[in-house]
Amino acid sequence: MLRNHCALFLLAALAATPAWTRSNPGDYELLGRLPAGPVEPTPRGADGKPSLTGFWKLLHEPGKPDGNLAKDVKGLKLPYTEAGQKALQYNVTETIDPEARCLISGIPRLLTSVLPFEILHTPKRLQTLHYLSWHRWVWLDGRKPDADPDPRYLGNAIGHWEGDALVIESQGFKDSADGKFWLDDNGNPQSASARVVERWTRPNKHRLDLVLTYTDPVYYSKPIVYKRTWALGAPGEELPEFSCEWNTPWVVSQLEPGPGVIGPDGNRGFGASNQSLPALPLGAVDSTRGTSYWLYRTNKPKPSDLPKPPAQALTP
Amino acid sequence: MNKFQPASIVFLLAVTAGGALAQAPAQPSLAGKPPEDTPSIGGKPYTGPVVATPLGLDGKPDFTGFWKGLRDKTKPGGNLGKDEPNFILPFSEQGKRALLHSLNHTVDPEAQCILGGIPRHNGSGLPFEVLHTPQRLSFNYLYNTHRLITIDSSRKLPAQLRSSYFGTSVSRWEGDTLVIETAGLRDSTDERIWLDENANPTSSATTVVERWTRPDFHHLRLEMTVTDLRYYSRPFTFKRTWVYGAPGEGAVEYACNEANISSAEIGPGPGPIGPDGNRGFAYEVTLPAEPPGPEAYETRP
Repeated sequence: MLRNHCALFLLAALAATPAWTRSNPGDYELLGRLPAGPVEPTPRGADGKPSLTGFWKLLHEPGKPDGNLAKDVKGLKLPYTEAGQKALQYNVTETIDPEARCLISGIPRLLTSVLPFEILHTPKRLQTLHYLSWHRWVWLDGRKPDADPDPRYLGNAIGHWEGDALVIESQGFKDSADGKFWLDDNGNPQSASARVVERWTRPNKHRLDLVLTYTDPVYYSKPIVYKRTWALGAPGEELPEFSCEWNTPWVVSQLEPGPGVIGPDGNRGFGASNQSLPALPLGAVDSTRGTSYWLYRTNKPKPSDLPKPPAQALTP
Repeated sequence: MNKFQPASIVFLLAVTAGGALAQAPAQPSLAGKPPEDTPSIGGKPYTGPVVATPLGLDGKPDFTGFWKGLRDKTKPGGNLGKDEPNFILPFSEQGKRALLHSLNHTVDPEAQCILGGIPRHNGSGLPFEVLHTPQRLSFNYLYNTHRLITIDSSRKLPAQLRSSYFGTSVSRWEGDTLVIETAGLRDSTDERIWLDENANPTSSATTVVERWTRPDFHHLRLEMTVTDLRYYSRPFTFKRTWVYGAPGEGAVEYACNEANISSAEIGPGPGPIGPDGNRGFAYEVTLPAEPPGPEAYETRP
């Protein structure tokens, strides 16, 4: 059985992009940095509100893990309830990383990712667009939350303005008990009772701040606050096409469940501080697509391996 | 643990059949039951007063909206040959062989939840949602996938293109028409991509020019020219009109990959294509209300 490291492979593929392809969209440093020089004002939309539109790259916090909602919690340990402990155990021992099956990565998991993302923002409708080709919709048209929302990976999101802060409230999530849904990359559980409140601000052109409050009384004894900042990508940088094709019967039957070992730094082995490249059998894989080939280790047989030629064929 | 979900598969097939479903009222049993808040698929002609085209901050037409296809009942859906004689595209000799390969050796990429690509999505019977900002535009499809376009007349296609499902695009305004040029697409003979729902082939030499207009609030129009002189003897055009969805209606989450772990069991090709140019899974046969079990597909003696 193999550990799955799809996000690691994604990072590896991006980093391993040959130089000649750099003129294509999607070739860039993964992490963001704020530009030196004078601060430029926040762009505004037709309604006069800050526009969040842009391609956003993480300002990684040194020493803090990515993909872990406990990043800002003391000891990097989430306040599990008893049911939460059991649900975590279930994810670690029974659930294959939903992302490795190309299931939609949910909220807040997508917002804990180390990968860049994009926002398109119009007065009544906003979307956050993420790697693996997922996008999440937000209504800004003043509608009220659905009294009986459908359970979704991405929840049901409605936003409103509080001054210059866009507040997005989401409810109606799937539940980790279904075996297809994680709170973050580390396999923490998320319940159908979860509520997510995101408070987005863009204090200037190049900076995007999020304060996220995650409330889930079924699996956690108190709300969890998670803060992050992204920097606007350079002109011409944008979210590339990426097709998630590693959802195959092989993945479902061969991958080991759970996120793998999580280090004392709270990282699952592929945080931004730990982006060493494994010796991957890249095979026919290019960086706009993930296939199950990526999930093979070099010491395992691959479907693309040819059978050994018969002995007589080797002798002239 | 058996994760096979027959109902989802049927819905997937139904949606994949796209236009075929939306326009063939004789097949209600195919449609399955989509989630309650899933928007209706086909658009109804708008008969109210003409409302002016909304404009963006740059003064250009704003294409933002949830768009549903309007159907000409005499034309097939999901078939890029809908405006060609007998609904058949002008294949080259190589294209005929590529078509045989698609029909006989490739599983519908959409049934495997792979990105549908361009031009296929523009021929689909499914609605899509557009978010449009002055520099950036997204087409969002019902499989929870998207295609992103940058509007920048100074941008040129790179000399070397990495092949992808949606290709590499450049886009500019010509008056009130948004022109999108795309190249660098995958090839049906060695990749999982089809030109349209009917498994017509597309090559790595394909270029697509889309001309999008919004003549009034309620309508979105496309004139598309596909040039693939490897598989087709001449360029061909494809015209289409979509109508604005109901107020407050938008795309919703659809987890395509939940049910596709059985994709290895799906046979190749689009199924029979009728004389009306429509793909319809055994279109003359009334399907049972409930999908049969795996034994129905067992072919061994």
